[in-house]
Amino acid sequence: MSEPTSHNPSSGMPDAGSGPDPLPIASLLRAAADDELSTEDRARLDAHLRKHPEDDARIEFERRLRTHCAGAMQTPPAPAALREKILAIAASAGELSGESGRDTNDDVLADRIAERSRIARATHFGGRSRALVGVAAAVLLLVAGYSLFSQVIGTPSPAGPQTAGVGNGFSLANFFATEHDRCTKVPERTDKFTVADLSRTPDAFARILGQVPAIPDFQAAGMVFRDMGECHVPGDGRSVHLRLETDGSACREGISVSLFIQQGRASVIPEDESRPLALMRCSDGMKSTIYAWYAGGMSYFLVSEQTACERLREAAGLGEPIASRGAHR
Amino acid sequence: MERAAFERLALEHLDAVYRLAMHLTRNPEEADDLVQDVYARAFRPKAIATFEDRSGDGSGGMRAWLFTITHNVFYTRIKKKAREPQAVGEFFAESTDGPLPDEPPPAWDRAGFDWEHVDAGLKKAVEDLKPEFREVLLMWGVDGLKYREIAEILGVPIGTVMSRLHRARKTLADRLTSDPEAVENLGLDGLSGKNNGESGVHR
Repeated sequence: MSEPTSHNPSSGMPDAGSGPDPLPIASLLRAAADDELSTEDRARLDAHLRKHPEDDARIEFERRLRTHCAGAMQTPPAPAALREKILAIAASAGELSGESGRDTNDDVLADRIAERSRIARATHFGGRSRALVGVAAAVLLLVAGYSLFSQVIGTPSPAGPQTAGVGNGFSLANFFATEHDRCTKVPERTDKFTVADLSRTPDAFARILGQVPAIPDFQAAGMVFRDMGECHVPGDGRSVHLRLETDGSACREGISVSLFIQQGRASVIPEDESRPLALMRCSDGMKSTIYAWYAGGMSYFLVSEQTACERLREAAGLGEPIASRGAHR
Repeated sequence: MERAAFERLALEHLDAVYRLAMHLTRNPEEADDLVQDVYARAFRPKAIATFEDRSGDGSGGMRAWLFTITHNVFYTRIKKKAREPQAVGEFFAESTDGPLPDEPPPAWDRAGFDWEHVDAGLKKAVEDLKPEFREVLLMWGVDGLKYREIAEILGVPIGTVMSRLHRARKTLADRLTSDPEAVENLGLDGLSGKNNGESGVHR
């Protein structure tokens, strides 16, 4: 008896010539274990099992094989770093999709999304990947990167800073709010935070960012250091994510605060603006406040509840934030 | 569908996409790279619109859609790089017409089958399967997809899915019962000599 050549989706039977061939017994038993039998097949199976009751064990065997296959084929969840990269890709795609109404078709956008993704990989991957894509990344950064970031999404519009880069801010706000939520609410996915000792942070900053950034005086703002690690903020520069927590001395205890620091000036931050840019993001009933500013060659993104952000902004000696813009859902 | 909602839904399936990528590439770095390419394609405006169309008529869920992209990107890469031309040729030339042996069901006493000690051997047996068989086995075993869903994802007839599943499961069953030590551990002693020509399958 031959294996079916095709399968009638409606009946679960194979198609052959004028009618479906009956399933071979082995296939019939497997299909029974998979709950893929048609009514006709079920009748055949029942008849077969009346003659060969021992084959019932085969069905059970196939079921258990499936269960154990599921166990044997499990893999660990996607690494946190990969999740960040996907979020960064989403942010890039969101930014670039704003072009689609102009002179850019979908295929070009796809290439650009992939290009930005590759740039990020070349920037963040070490070892073999870095060596292999170094030259390509440099070319992409010089040729494609400049035109993408500066001409397309990075340049403030003539209307002024209040409207400049709104699409970009929208995507970035999503990225920071999502990443902040994820890292504070899903502890098992926080393996990226490799430095939990405050005294070790200068070395980590120097290694990742190439310099030690000017961290706001969070202790004056009633916050304690929790940990930090490298992350993948959308854009070219390498970045870190610090987690802080309020200690109750200045505002309610236990509020999580994220501070992302990225090399270079993020395109969302206007060049002529020293005050922090406020990006708001509301989703699923939760509201995140995001302050973004640029200082000393680094871009800073503070994410938390409004009160905590305000405390840290004041402690950092930053001016009043300019008009909010970003993502409201 | 709104982009943000689409992104959230797509990210819910990241672990499943990563698992498929891992089983296809068997290399964490390549899997990482593959997943990024998959999402870069998934997040295109036109792709989102396409997904809306598919979900509109109930023909495709997000996970199946992402699996389709993963499958296509993986095999496109293989074709481009010509890494495994024989395997690819075999994959694309695979016929569903050829008869497969209708091996008789094994008739050992499954009450003595020690499943607790099976998993390590099973894992190795799965790893030794060709990617196209692992892929089908994963969607069937881990993701619980129906034959028709797998066929749609892979773009092949249901018969091909059944054929691959048949071969993959038979290979696993053979491996579980062909190793003398495993047979002893699994309490399958006394079955040798009853083999009717189907390796590891007894009646």
